[in-house]
Amino acid sequence: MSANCANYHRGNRQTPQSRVTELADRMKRIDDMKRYKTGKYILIFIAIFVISSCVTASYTKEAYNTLATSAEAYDVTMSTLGEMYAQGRISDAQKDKAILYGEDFWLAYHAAVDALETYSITRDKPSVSTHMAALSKALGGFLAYFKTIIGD
Amino acid sequence: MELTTLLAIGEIIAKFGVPMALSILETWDINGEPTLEDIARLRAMVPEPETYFKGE
Repeated sequence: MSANCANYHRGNRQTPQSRVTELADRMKRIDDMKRYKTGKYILIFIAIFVISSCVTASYTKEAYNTLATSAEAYDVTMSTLGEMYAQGRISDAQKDKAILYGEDFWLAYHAAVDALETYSITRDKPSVSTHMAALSKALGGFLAYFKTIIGD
Repeated sequence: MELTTLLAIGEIIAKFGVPMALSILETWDINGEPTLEDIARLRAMVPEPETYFKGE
């Protein structure tokens, strides 16, 4: 006998409304699990794609892909924060802090683009590597702050 | 790209799902080596942070 049936026989009968609520919660949990699983597969796919492209791509292409990926991550997170602010879901203080992290990233990103542009002419690899490391750090800080706002 | 940043991006992708992954792959869709024009186009992809909070 299932737990629900046992409860029913014990007299712990649910009202239709609570049953509907419970089913809706259960469906939401299943949806969340599906989304999490999909996200995991996408993550694995992207990781394999990034690693394989890093192995085969030239230094310029690898740097370009890193910059483009970072830009996309920045754009999506900033757009989300902008929407959340417009809906009143984040405070002015959180917005100001997001802008500070965003500015750090913006500066690091544009410096890295400049370095890559110079590299494509002069082939000065150390300069690009230094700027890429700074970009990576700025993006890490920015995304970590974003995670604290939206939660896990 | 550092592993921690890669993982952070992965988490963002997991949160936003397939459209985000596709838009990343779209940005990679250039033939051969990136030209100076491709690199210059990267600049327009990152506007200043304040612009995201304007218009409300």
